Amino acid sequence: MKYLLFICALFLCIACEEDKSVDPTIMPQETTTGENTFGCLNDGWVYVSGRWGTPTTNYYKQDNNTYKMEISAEVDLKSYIKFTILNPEQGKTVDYTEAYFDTQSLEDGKVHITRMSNGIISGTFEGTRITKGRFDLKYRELN
Amino acid sequence: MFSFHAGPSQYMGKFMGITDYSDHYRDGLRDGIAWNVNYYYLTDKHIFHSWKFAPGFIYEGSRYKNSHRDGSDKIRMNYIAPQLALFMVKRKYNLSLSAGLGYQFYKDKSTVYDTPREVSMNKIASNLSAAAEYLFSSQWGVSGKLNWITSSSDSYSVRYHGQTWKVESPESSDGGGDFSHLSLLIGLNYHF
Repeated sequence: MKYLLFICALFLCIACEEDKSVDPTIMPQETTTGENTFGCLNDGWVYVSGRWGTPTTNYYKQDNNTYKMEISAEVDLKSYIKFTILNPEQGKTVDYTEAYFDTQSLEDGKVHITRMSNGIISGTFEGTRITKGRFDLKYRELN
Repeated sequence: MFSFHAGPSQYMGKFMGITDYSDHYRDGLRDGIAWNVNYYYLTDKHIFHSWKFAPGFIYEGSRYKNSHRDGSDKIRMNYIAPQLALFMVKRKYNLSLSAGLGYQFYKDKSTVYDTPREVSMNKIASNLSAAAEYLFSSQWGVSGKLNWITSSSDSYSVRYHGQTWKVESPESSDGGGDFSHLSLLIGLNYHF
């Protein structure tokens, strides 16, 4: 039992290890190759993922007419920017909703999807407090 | 001998912690200006013919800046080091070579999307210099100096929005590396 706890603790330590090669003050390039990058301005300040782990995506069908892509990016230690894109489609500008910066709720905004194919979703997004947003992420396609 | 010089300077080698790594932006950031102050203690003793060794001290400051649509960089470096120089002393002119090991203070007061950001990268550095002086009076001379200061770093610290992070082997610049600056300076020497 002690060994199991030790292994779990070790795994947690590795899982939360900081990637110190990432400068969290520099926005990623606008790419469409699945680089697993995410960055935006919140109230004018730069927030970028990568130093505290890669962003996560969750793509699912809510009902017959609605598909949702949830994106969550750790932009500081235990600090996240999250939102949900409604009916994402390559080349289209769609809404994002359920946006949060930590526990603060943010206004809805728009996402322009530049690529959504072969398990890669890339785009730019803009809201009220959130501006200059960009992401280039891998996701698992629905069957 | 006390001297003051100023002139153009060229940043060479790797950039780290800047706000844009495009070739065009880096090229524009390489051109800067430098200024230095030197002191050398020249004794009456010659080691052979007209050659003399002289201990001394150098301070050199330099500045490089550039801006782009989403940000800017203002790099400022200050180098201080004791020097050991070899002088060839003639009645109307002097030639000298000097070298030293010192410390370089590096600061980049940059902006990203109009918000302030500060990068620091203070490191041990070394220099090599060559200078020529023409004496137009017994105490005053005009001189030209070529000074090369080199350093190396694998990390930098960045301060932004009230927080400070250490960036090690930065992925944006493909890791750490060597950087240097070469300055061609002109100034006045005062002998006392």
